[in-house]
Amino acid sequence: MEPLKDSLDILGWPTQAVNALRAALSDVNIPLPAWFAQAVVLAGFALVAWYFFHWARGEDKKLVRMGQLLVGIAATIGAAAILFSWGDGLMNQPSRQLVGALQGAPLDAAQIDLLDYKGDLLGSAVDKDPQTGTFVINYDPEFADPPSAVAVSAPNCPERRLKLHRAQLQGARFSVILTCAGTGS
Amino acid sequence: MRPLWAVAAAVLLLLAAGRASAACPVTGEVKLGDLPIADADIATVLGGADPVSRGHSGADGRFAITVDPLPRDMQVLKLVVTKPGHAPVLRLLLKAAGSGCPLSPQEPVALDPGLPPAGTTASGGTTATGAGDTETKLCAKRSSLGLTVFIAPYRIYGGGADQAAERLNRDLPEIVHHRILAFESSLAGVTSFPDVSVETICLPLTAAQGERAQEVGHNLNALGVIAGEGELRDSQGKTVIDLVSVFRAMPAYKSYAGVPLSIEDTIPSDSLRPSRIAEQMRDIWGKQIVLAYALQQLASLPATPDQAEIGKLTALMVSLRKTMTADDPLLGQVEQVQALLSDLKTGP
Repeated sequence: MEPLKDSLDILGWPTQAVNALRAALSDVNIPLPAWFAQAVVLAGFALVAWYFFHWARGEDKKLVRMGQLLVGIAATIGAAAILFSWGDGLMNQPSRQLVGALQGAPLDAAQIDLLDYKGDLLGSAVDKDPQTGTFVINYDPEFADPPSAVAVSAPNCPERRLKLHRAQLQGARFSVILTCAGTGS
Repeated sequence: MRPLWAVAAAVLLLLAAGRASAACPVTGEVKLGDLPIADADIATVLGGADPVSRGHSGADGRFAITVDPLPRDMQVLKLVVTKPGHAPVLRLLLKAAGSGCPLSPQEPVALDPGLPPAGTTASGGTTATGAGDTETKLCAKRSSLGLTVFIAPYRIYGGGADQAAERLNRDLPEIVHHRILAFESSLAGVTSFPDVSVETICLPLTAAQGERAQEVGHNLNALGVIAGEGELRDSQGKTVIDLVSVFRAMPAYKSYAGVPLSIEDTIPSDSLRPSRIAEQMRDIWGKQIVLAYALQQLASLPATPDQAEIGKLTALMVSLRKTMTADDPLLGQVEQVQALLSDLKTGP
C-alpha cells in the first residue's frame, strides 16, 4: 500500500500551487487560510473547466476544440485534486505525531523543527529518545494545511530539510542523516 | 433482511468493544550501568497529556505495565522512568503496526548516573573506596557516623510474590528498626544507646554474596548489611512469609570481625503496620546490632583508651550476655568481645 500512498503525492500539485500563491500574498501582508485559498482556486478551476467545455461544444475548428478540451480537462483535474486532498484530510486524519530517527549526530544536541508551507517554524514539541536515536514531533494538524518539511541541525552539521510526504504525515517513520564536520559521517 | 442487519450490528459492536478493551502489555528493565535499579517510578505520557504513573520496577529492575492501544492519530507512547537522585529518562515506545499497541523497549532503560554524591571525584570514583560501588549506584548515602544498617531488596518467591515483595521491601527498614528499638529498650543496665538508622539500597544482593556485601558495607560506612529472601506459604488459612536474612556486621577490631548471622523469621504477609510485624520477629536482630555497635566502639578506641569507655562497653556486653541462653548463636561472639575488653582493661 505504501507505493500507492506515495503515488497519491502527485495529486498535491494544486495545493502546492495554492501555497505558492498564499506565500506571495502573505509577503504583501495578505495572509489567507489554506482552506479559503484552496476554495477560491477550486472555484476558479471549476469556472475555467465549465467555460472551456461549454465553449468547446460550439467550436467548429478541430484543433481549437482539442485545445479547449485540454484546458478544461486540466482545470477539472486541478479541482478534483483539491477536492481529493480535502476528502483525504477528512477521512484519513493526519497523525498528530511525526516520528523520525537521526543518524550522524547526537540526538541530544540536535535542533529539530517543523516547518509550514513558507518554511517558517510551526509551534511543535519535540521529544527525543537518545538511547535509540528516535524523536517524535508533536503538533496540532490544521485542515488542508499540513506541515511541509522537518529541519534538523546540530553543532558542526549543516541543516538538513526533509520534505514531508503524505505517508509520513499519516504516521510513516522517516530518517534524517546529518553530515557533520570532523565526524567523518 | 432485518435479522441479518441485527447480526452485522452485533458483530460490529463486539469488534468495537474488543478493540476498546484490548490492553497492551509493556515490559522492560531499568538499569544503571550493569546494575538493575529497583523501585524506579514508571509513568507513561500520551502526547501532551499529564503523565500517568503505572508502577515501579521490581527488585531485579524489571517492570511490567499495561496500557491502552494508541489512538489512530498517535504513533508513540512516552515512557518516563524516574528515580530520586537521577535525571528522568524518556523512552519512546513506537506503535506496532497491527495491534496499535506500543512496543516494549528492546534495551534496558538506562538511568543517568545523576549528580555525583558528596565525596566523589570528577572521574566518578569515590574518594572513600576508589573504584567500587558508588553511592549513586546503590541509591543510598554514605553513613557519616557509621550507625546505619543497609538492607538490600529481598527476593520473594511464591504466588502473588510481586506485591508482597514490594510491600516488604518498602516496610522492612521500619520493621527492623522497631525490632532493634524493642530489644535495646529491653536491655537492663544500659541507659543510652545510639540512634541506629535502617535504610535500603537498590542493589539486589543474595545472601551468598558475602564479599559483595562487605564491599557495599565499607563503601557506605555501614554498621551492617542485610540481604535475604522469603517465600510465601499458607499457615492456618493465612498467608505468611518465611524470611531468611543474612546480617553481616561491618566493624572489625584488630583481627576480629563479626561473622555473618543467618536469621529466620515468619511474618504475616498482610499489610500490617511495621511495628506490629516487628513484634513477630526474633530478638536476635537487636542482639546483632548491639554486637556490631560494640565492635565499632572497640575499633574507634584510641591507643590508650579511657577506662570509662571500656567500662561502658563492658556493661553493654554484660547486659547483652544476660539476654542469651547457652544455645544462642551469638554467644560465642559476645564472649570474644568480652575477652577483648578484658584485655584492654588489664593491658599496659
